[in-house]
Amino acid sequence: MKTFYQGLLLALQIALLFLVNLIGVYIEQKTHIPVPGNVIGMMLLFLLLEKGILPVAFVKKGADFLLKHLTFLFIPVVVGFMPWGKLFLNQGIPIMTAILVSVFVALAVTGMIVEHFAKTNRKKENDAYN
Amino acid sequence: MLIISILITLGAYYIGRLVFNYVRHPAANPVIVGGTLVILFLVYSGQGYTSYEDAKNVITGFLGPATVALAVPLYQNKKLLVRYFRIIMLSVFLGTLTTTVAVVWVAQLVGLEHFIVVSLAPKSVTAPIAIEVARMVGGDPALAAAFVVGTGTSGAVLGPMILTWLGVKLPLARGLALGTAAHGQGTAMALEEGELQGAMGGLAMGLAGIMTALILPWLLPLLL
Repeated sequence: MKTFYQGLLLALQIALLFLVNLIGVYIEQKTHIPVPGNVIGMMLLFLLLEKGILPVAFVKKGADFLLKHLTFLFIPVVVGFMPWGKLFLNQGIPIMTAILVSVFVALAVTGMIVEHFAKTNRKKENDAYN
Repeated sequence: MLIISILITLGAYYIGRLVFNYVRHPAANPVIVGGTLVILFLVYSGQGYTSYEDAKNVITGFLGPATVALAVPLYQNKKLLVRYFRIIMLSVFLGTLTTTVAVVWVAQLVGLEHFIVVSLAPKSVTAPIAIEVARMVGGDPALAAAFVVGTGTSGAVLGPMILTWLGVKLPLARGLALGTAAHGQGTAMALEEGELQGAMGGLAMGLAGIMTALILPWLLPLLL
């Protein structure tokens, strides 16, 4: 009975996250702002939690579950790459060169800027390490 | 076929997790191992890709609520978000700007066709934004989506190693870098490192997506 209750609670919380996502998608379609619905949903949920309208306990279990298994959700995305195999076989080297260089640039620029500036605060605060 | 495809994906994920927990190396991440197993199954069972499409739609339908769920760790790390607000905005903006310039320049340098260059431009951001932006700048949405996956996969596999090699150690910095460079797939990898890294990855992913949508339409003509 206890596991059944836990499962139901998890399903309800995930359903609530689905609902917030739907509202985000609806806002995106109505306003035509260049922000995808799921990111609008993320900002909306943050606001609801921040303003104390929605207690974090109402979504915590569902959110933890989805994020714990986020890599599972990306497996079909990788599989969706299959139909493009030919293009990548023919032009794979130039395409991958462009992608790899730019991935490296983003990691280096963002990572090293944050590392540098956050380290100057190191003596005063330890939050960034925890 | 739908149920079988989902079960196959769950099995592949389970094996991918076991491998990852055993070797503890980002190159063996569950997305790559699991995805490869599913592709191998589809190829060798003769099912092909089209039979998998329903399962893909069902599973990726959860990516929306999962993105929304990133608000929870973000909320729990709000103090950090407020304290480092300017560094976060500046670093994600410069990362997004330089990665876009780099991909467009290198793509032209190695002689790729115009429509491939244009479709590559938004490849660092989450698929729903990249598809829209590709359409706006005259690229091919499906091709852009494939490049998004290529970017996410290489960022998730190589990202943690590259950051360590560059001496980037702070969870805050690693999460922001992975989210900026490799959107959701980078964020998933950041979450494997820790909750704070994951929250920052999700934040960077959202910011990079919004910034790309706003700057690419006027930036791209300057680079071509």
